[in-house]
Amino acid sequence: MIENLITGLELALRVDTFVWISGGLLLGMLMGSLPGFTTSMGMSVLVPISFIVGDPLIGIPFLIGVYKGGIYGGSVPAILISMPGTGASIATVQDGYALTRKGQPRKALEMSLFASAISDFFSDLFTLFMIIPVAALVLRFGPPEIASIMFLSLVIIAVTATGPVIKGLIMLGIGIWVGFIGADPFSSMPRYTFGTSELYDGFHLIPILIGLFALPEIFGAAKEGDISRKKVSKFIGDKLRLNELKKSLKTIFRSTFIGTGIGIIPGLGQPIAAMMGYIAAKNSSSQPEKFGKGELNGVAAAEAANNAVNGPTMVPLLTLGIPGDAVTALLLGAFMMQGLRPGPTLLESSGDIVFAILIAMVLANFLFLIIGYITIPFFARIVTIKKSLLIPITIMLAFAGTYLARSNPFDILTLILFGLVGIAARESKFDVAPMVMGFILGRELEYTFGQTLALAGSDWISFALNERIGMTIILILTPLIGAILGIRMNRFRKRVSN
Amino acid sequence: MFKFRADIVFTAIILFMATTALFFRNSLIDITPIFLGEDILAMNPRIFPNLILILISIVSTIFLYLELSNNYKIYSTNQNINEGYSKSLKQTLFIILTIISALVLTKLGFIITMFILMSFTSILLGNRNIFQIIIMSICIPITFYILVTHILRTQLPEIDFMQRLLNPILQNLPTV
Repeated sequence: MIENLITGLELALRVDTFVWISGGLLLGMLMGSLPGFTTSMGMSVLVPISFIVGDPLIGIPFLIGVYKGGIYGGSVPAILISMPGTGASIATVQDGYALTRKGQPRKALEMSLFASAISDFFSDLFTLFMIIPVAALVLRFGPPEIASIMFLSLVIIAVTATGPVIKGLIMLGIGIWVGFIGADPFSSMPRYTFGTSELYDGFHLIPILIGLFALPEIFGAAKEGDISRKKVSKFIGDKLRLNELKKSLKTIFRSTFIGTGIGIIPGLGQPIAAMMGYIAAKNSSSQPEKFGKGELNGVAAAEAANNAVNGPTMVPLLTLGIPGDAVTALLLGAFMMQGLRPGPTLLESSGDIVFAILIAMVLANFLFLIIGYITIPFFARIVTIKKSLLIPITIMLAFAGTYLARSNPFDILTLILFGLVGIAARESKFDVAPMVMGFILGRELEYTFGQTLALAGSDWISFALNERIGMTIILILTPLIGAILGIRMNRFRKRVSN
Repeated sequence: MFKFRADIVFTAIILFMATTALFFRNSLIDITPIFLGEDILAMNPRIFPNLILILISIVSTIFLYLELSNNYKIYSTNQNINEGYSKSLKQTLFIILTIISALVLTKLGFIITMFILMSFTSILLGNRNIFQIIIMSICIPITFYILVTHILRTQLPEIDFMQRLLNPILQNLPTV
């Protein structure tokens, strides 16, 4: 390993590699900042470039740059116009947009950038040094463990939602139920489709995200009308101060730890990491009532957690050949096009190239910070545009982003439907975040639970106690963790209402 | 003017929909016409959805019971009827506009639909500068359309006439 690491370092330190990474980062940030234009879409457009350049030490780092930039870029519309471009930015929108409303978009964007870069750097370092031992551990994770982790995530999300637990549970239930619409994952029989072919594949995540988060904001603006030119802020708010960043370091490292842990498990991904990081920060804060109302720690927690996922997703990809999500599936394709076949033999056959790519990934974070910092003032100026101009542009982006996701006109109707649900939920003071998480996780939970049942056969007790003790421990701990968090949150809510 | 609080109405609608879906549970979810072994189908496709619907119904009922037992809190008052009426009218117009735009997007194409939607939204928000409205509603959708369809090679719905009109510009632009 040491030999490969040294050779990898020599291979990685090339000027052209870093020029291409910078290009990838910039393109990723631009694409990520277009609502509906997800990182996976951006990467799928750019995968041929990585192949055309021919060299794996240019092509793959370029795509990794797009990946990192895209995940960060998704936070830009979430913070500025309450439009999470991807599932990874669901938690960011809560405090990021509240900060924009308070006139501090620059502060929110800078916190998002620093949290992203710091967490990305440390999770990449972890990936570099722990890739071999972690891969051996991940190999033991199967559907039972993943199902139990998803169940635990759902319980935590419900009890820590903004507002009363009971409202969180209702929204979580609706989200899970909406996820069931479409073909059953095992039998492929239609559920709640009313005979329509459009519903057979179920609802797509992007129109639900844009509908639930962005349309209620636009609707609220329509109610308020335009603000006179005198009142339109010509400032983009203050810069992030060093002591504010220092105060958030603990939160950033906690979220990095959470994101890294989630990243190495295939199939969990950024939305869960971001939400778990956000919840952990809210729970450990002495003033949890500030979360959702423009708390810098909220932005730091969500962004650090979702970016910390980026590096560790490479662990199952490179060592086992298992892509954790759509983005890593594209990276898998890019590796194969370069003649590198991810799997147990990759580290033996091309260890030096793999380590060179991982080293480039670690060093890319410095470029990420520089490029991100230079572009922030341009992004932040968006909020200084007059509302009667910004809102129509936002609504155009909402329509286009929805259609771009999979070129399906039905998604536009989905956008309107969930926009109406979002408006009703907002008027009723129901938090829509548990609904989105329920939608993402519910179907996966059902699928992995079904797989677990098939694996267990008839002897459940022996399966749970002898074969899958990890799953059993998580399931035993779930109500305990849920109860502790619920009691803590209730205490905080009472304190707030008093 | 008294009316039920919004969260109570919202939860009541959810409860009604969940119980209706439970009532028609057998006709809303199909089951396999042939028997599949436990290795393939370890779980009936109706189990999870019905379980969730039951849980939604129970939790919604508990919420309504708790809220309705505090009957002095269940009404909301609208203090300024005229102001409320004006705001509601704007909101209703906005919703109608977005629904119409969603329905005509594939018929009229992206650029024309966005011109209508953006210009009316801008007027609804109080912008009275016609020149500004027209420039914004034409230039931004066209630029965006060219960016995503030609340069980034993705799809947006557009009618033939518009595509022919944009062809001379598109031919001189680079693509990814």
